[in-house]
Amino acid sequence: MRGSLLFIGLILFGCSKSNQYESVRIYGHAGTGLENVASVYHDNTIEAVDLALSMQGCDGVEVDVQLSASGDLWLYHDAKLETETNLNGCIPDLLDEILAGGKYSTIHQEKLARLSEIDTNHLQGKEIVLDLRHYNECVGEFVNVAQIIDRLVDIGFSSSKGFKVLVNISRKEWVQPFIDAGFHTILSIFSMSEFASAESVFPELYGYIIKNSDVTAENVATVHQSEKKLFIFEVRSPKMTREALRKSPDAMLSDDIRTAIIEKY
Amino acid sequence: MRLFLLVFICVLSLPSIGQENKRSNAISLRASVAKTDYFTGVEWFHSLSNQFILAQFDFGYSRTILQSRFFPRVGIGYGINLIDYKAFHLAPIVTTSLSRLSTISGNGRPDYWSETYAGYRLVFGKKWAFVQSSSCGLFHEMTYNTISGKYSGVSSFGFFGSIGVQYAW
Repeated sequence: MRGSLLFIGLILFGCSKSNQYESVRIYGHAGTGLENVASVYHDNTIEAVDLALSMQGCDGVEVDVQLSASGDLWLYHDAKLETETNLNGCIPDLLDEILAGGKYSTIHQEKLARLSEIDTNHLQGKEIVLDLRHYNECVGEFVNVAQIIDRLVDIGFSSSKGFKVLVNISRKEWVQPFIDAGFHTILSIFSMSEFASAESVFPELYGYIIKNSDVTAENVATVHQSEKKLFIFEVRSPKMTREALRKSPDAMLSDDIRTAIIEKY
Repeated sequence: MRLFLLVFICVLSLPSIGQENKRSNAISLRASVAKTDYFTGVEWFHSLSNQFILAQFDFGYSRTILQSRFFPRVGIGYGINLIDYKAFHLAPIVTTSLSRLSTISGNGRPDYWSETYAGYRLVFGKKWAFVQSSSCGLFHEMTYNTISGKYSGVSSFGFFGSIGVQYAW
């Protein structure tokens, strides 16, 4: 009997967390996680962002941002609206009046939201990563970068107002305009060879973002030696989360924010 | 509403089809899947004529075993034996449960989930039996909001499915 109790005790408390991951910041990917079955809200909605930011241990959120035909910035992940909402087409082709009627096909029917609708009071002391979509899949054209920068400035997502804005760029041609506009710019990379070449071209980059499976602890140390930040995404299960934390990135974009908070604390 | 009550009273007053099951107590070990985690635990069954009650205790596998964070789920249920024929038993059930998880250990502000579901419970066998149940319904999440400094809740759709082995006496 005593042996059984000892065994249960070892399981429950044997792997107690330490403060070794204190420097790793936890962000909710697209709110409380992308395609997270346990999440009560759809990703990239105001409700999901607010819920993530209200959680103990959450240091920020990442959202996917797309430019509409009217020039406003909307939160949405996929290329086409019909995959998740009651609308059809691509955001860069649609006017704000149409997008304002957009709702997700979920039980809460959360409305399609503008970036400016995020309550910045909830972001105080935290960080927001804006994954800026550069391509309009419906017409096969790139989006106007100057319009995005202007709109970010207009809605106050450029200067420090008690929270930090990080722009995540995957098109290299967009990097310099954002750096020139004074944004903390993060470049999406798929391998460490891309890091080496980007470092020589864009020494003013704030940091890099890479998939958890494409980076090692040594790679993270290499990026830190260049005094750049490294962000890791595609982190969901407890095992993946633990692996990601052990690499000591600056932040982790978690697809299951509760799992990440538990592992960190 | 009156039609619903009439149907409900009729179901309660009728003997279930077959009436083969004479055992009044059973306990089952089960593995389950829910919106919040995979669970494993026990279910106690007590028969009252053609109705029965259930008491359930489970713990979240991922949180408790993989993440060393105890995640209990306790529930009660009620069902009516609709088909009770030889080794086959089918019953509609309603269950309600509460689960609790501390994401940050020792801070005294855990998250809570209450789930109120309707579904069915299927049993194949007599003394030893295979049990399967599925249910879905109202899922309510209560989390501590660090911005407002209060607990806030949100309702959604939830589900629960389980398989297990039952011993009856």
